[in-house]
Amino acid sequence: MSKKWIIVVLTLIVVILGGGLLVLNARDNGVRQPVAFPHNKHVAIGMSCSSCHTGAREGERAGIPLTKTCALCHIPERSSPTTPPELAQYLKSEEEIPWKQLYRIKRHAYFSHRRHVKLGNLECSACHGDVESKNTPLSRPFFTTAGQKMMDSCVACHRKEKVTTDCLSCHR
Amino acid sequence: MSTKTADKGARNLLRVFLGVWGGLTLFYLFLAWRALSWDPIFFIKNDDSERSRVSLADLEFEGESETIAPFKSAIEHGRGLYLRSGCALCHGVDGRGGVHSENYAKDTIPNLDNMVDKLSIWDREDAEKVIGLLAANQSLDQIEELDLPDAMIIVPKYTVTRDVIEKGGKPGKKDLQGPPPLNMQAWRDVLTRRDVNNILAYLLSVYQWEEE
Repeated sequence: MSKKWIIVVLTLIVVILGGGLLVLNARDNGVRQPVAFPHNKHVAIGMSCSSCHTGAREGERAGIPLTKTCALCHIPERSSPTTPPELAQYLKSEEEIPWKQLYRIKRHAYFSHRRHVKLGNLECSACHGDVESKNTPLSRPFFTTAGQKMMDSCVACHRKEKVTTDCLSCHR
Repeated sequence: MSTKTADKGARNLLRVFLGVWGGLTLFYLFLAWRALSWDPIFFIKNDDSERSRVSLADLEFEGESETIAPFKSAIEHGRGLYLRSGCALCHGVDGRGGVHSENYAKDTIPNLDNMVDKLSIWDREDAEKVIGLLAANQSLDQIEELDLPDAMIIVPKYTVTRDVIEKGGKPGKKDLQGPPPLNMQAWRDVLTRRDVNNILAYLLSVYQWEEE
């Protein structure tokens, strides 16, 4: 094979791989949730974040509600509140909904929700953004630099609020 | 190249190697010492805000009285159950209420942070006595001589409230033809009597008494 062909083949491989990854990213399917959970509808009736994410005020992790928690209000046979078919399936089979975790704290870092939400009086939106108005479940693009952005925003907020930025206060 | 020059080169290389290795070891030992001796109070500077001190705080009952303190674990148990069983979904975190239920006669699901009022307990001392009894899993209707001035009113109200938790309830409809509002399910298969008593003790403990 001539040198020219090798360059052509390599260029094609790079273009196809790059294009494929761009398409994957554009379709926002890095992480997609199994049930189309609308945060806005739940917030609109007066539910607070920590009534489902029960660890948000009390623990290190905010947590995700179990299927039986959804079942307290969502009864597939009833018209109100409406139960989407994919949720009805999990409720009938009594299986846990395989929610995908979006936020991962690296093992070398420590983050306590309780310290930030209960003791520091931070609103959930300070870190998670305007989740309350979202009518689709949260997802994560295929490529993300959120990890670095998260660390930057942590430090920026700690500086703004004059909270210690000592490395070991978060990195253990 | 003579042997002497080669020896000198080898010695220099060894020195560089030992220097780097020693430096890294010292740095590692420093990091290890810092990690082991790290204490939040030590690294909070004077110009850091009070918020830095959250790292020092532990889960505490704010403003708890000495009477309630001995029952802390039972109240904590009640609080955990209230939050994790799903009570907070409808009745709000800390019983604050505010959750709307479609076609419910009262629109909003009852708040429970006024459990003291619901049980007709008018005195802080009485409330703390009831909290103590419930935290110790003593059902008020099982006590022969309850030492409370309004026991005749408090006990039946306690029994009704406990029954609603254990047996569930059907909330009234605003529009009789409309969809059923959110249901209060029966919790007796999920929660034990002790659990229910502990939840009630917790709900009584969240009441905000006016300062005398």
